[in-house]
Amino acid sequence: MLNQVILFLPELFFLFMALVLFGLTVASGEPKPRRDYHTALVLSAIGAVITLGSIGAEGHLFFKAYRLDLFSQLFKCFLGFGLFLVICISSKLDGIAERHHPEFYLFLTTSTLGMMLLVSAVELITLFVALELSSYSLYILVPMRKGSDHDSEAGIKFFFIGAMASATMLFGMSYIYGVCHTTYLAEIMTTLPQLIHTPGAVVGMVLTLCGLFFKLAVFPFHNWAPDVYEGGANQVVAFVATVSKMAGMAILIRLVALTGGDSTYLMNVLIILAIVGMTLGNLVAIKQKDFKRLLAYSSIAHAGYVLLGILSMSEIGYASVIYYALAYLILNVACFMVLVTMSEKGQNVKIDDFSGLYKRAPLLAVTLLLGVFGLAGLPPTGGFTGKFLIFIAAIEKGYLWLVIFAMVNVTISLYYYIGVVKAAYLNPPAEGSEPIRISIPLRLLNYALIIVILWLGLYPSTLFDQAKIAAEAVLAVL
Amino acid sequence: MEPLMAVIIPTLPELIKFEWVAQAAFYFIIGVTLAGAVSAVFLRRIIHNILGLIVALFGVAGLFIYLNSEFLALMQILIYVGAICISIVFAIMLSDPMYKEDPRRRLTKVFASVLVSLLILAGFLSMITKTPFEAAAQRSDDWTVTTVGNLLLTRYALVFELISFVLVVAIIGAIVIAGQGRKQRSLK
Amino acid sequence: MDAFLLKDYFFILLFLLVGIGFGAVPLILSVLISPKTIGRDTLKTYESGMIPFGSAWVQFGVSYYLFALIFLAFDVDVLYLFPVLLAYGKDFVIRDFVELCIFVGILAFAIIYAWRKGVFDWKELTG
Repeated sequence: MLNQVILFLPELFFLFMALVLFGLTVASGEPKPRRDYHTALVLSAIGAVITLGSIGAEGHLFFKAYRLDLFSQLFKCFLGFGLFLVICISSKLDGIAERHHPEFYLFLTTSTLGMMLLVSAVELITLFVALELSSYSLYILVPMRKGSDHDSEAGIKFFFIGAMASATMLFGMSYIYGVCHTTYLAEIMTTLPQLIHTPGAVVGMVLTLCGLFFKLAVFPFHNWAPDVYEGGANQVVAFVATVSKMAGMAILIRLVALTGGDSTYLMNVLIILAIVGMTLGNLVAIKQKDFKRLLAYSSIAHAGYVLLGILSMSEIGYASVIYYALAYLILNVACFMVLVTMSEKGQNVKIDDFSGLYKRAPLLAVTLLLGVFGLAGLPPTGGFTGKFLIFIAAIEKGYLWLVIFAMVNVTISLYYYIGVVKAAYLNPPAEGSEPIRISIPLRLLNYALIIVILWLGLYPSTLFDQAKIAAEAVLAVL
Repeated sequence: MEPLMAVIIPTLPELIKFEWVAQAAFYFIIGVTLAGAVSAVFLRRIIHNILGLIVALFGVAGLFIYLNSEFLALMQILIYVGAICISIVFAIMLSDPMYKEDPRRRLTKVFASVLVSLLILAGFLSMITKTPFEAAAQRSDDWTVTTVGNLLLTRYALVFELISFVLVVAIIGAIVIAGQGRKQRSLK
Repeated sequence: MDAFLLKDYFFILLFLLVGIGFGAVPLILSVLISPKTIGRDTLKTYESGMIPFGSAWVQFGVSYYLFALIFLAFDVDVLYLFPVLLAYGKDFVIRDFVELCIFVGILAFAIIYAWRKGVFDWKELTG
C-alpha cells in the first residue's frame, strides 16, 4: 500500500497543490496576486523536483490501467518543469483579472495533473478521461483573459473544435474496441498489428489520433491555434504552446506504437498530414505580424516535423520525438518569456515591437535569438539536434524524399524566423522606448534557459540514451 | 385488473412469438429515432428542433435497451434528455428573442450538407461491411447495471474518481466564465 | 434480450400507451366539443384569468443558466452513483466506502466554490 502511494506521489502532490490553490480561490478578502504567485511558484518548484525524483519508478497501479515506466516518468518530469517554467513567467500576470489569479494557477495545475495521468494511462477509458481533464482546464483558461475582444471568440473556437476532436477520438476508440475487444493497451498491442489491415482498425486508429492531432494542432485540426494564441492571455498561450503540446506528443507515441508499424494506410495518412501541415504552417507564418500568431503557425509546422519522427515507427524515431519534445518546450518557453517581459500590460506583441531589443535588453535579445533559431533548427541549439535526430530516424526508414521536403520547409521557415531576429538586432529602437528592466530572478531564468538550449544542442547523448530506453519501454508495454 | 394481468403476463411469450416482437420493437425504435432526427433537422422553429432531438434521443435509448445495455439507456435518458436538452432550452431562453424572423434556408447549403452526410454514411457503411468483426472468444453477457457498478469500483476506479474531478473543474470553470461578466456589471 | 426482459418492458410499453392517451384524449375531446367561435379574447394567452401583458418570449437572466449547468454536472455525477450503489458493499465494504467518499468529497468542492462565489445568493445575482 505504502509502496503504491510512493509510486503515485507526483500525482498526489499535484493534487495537493490543486487543493491548496483551491483554498486560495475561496479565501476571503481582497485579491492578493503576490501571495498567489509565490504559493504557486513554490509548490510547482517542489512538484518539479518530485517528478525529477520519480524518474526510474516502475510499476502498475489501479488494476493495471496505470503504468509507470521510464517513458511516463520522463514525460512527467518534463511536464512538471514545464508547469514550473510557465508559472515562473507569470509574475506579471496582467492579462487576467487579479481576482481570478488563483483560478488561473488552479487550472494550470489541474491541466498538468490531467496530462500526467495521461502519459501514464495504458487503458483507453482512463486515457480519454485524463485527456478531458487536461483539455477542460484549457478551455476555461483561454477565455479568462480580461478586457479583450478576441477572448470569447478564441475560447469558443477552442472549445468547439476541441469537443469535436474528443468526440471523434471516442468514436475511433469504439472501433478499436470493436476489433480488439479490450481497452487495455497491452492487449491491444498484441492483437492490433494482425488486424491493422482491416478497414475498421485503420479508421478507428485514425479517428483516435484525431483527438491528439487537435492537441498538437496537426493540419486538419489546426485552425484553433492562431486565434487561441492571439486571443488567450500570454501565459495561458505559453502553457498551451509548451506543456500541452508535449503531452500530445507523448500520447501520440503511445498510440501509434500500438499498431506495430506496418500499416501502409496509416502511414500514408500521417505522411499527407505531415506534408500539408509543414507547408501550410510555414507559408502562412511568413505573412504574420503578431508574434503569437507567428508562433501558432510555426507550431502547426512543428507538428508536421513531429509526425515525421512518429511515422518512422521505430525506436529511434520515438526517441527523437521525445528529445524534440523537450527541446520544443524549452525553446518555446524562451520565446514566450521574452514575449511576456516585452508585453507591459499583458497585451499582444507585434514583431515590430522587437525593434532594437538588443539595445533595450541585450540579455532578452540573446534568449530570443537562441529561441527563435532553435525553432528554426539552426545549430548549436537544441532545436537543431532535435530535428537532426528526427530526420535521421526518417532516413533510416527510407523516407529520404520526405526528409528533403522537410528540409525545404525548414529553409522556408528561416525566412520568418530571421525576420524576428532582424527586428531585434538590426532595426533601431522605436522613438521613446526605454530599456527594459529585468529583475534578478528573471535574469537567472534567462541564463538557465540559454544554458539548457545550448546543452540540448551540443551534448545530446545523455538525454537521447534515456529517450531510447523510454521508447523501448513504450514498445514493451506488456 | 390484477388477475387479468397475472394471466396475461406469464403467457405472453406463448401468445406472441418472441422474434416477431423483437423485430417489431426494433423497427419501431428505428422509426422513432429517424422521425425525431428528421424533425430535429428540418423543422423551422428551434423549440421544435429540440423536441425532435428529444424524441431521437429516446429512440437511441431504446436501441441501447434492445442491445441489452440498460446502463447506457439510463444514461441516454437522464443525461441527454434530462440534462443536455434542458440546458439547450435554457440556452435558447437566454439567447436572442425567438420572435425574430428565421433565417432563410439556402437550397445549395441543404444540398451540400445532404451530400456530405450521405458520403460519410457510405464511407462508414463500406468500412463496417468490409471489416471482419469477430466475436470475442470469451464474452460476458452479464451487462446489468450492477456489473457496471462493480467495474467502476474495481477496474475503472481511477476513471470513477477522475470523472468527479473533471466535473468539478467544469463547474468551477462555468462559474468563473459566467461570473466574469456578472461581477463587472454589478460593480457599475 | 430474453422473454423475461420482454415482460418487464411490456409494462413500459403499457405506460407509454397510457401516457400518450393522457396527452391525446383531452386534445381530441377539446377539438370535438369546444365551441368554434372566435372572439376577442379567444387567442389570448391564458394566465390564470389575469389579463397578460407583454410577450411570452422574453430573454431570461444568465443566472438561470449557471443553475442549469451546475445541475447538468451533478446530474452526470449522480448517474455514476446509481450503478455503484447497486454494487456497493458486496465484497470489500471499506474499499467501496473509501472510493465513494473520495467521489462525493471531490464533488463537494464544486459546492464550496459555488457557495463562496455567491452563486446561491439570489439577491446578488439579480442586482
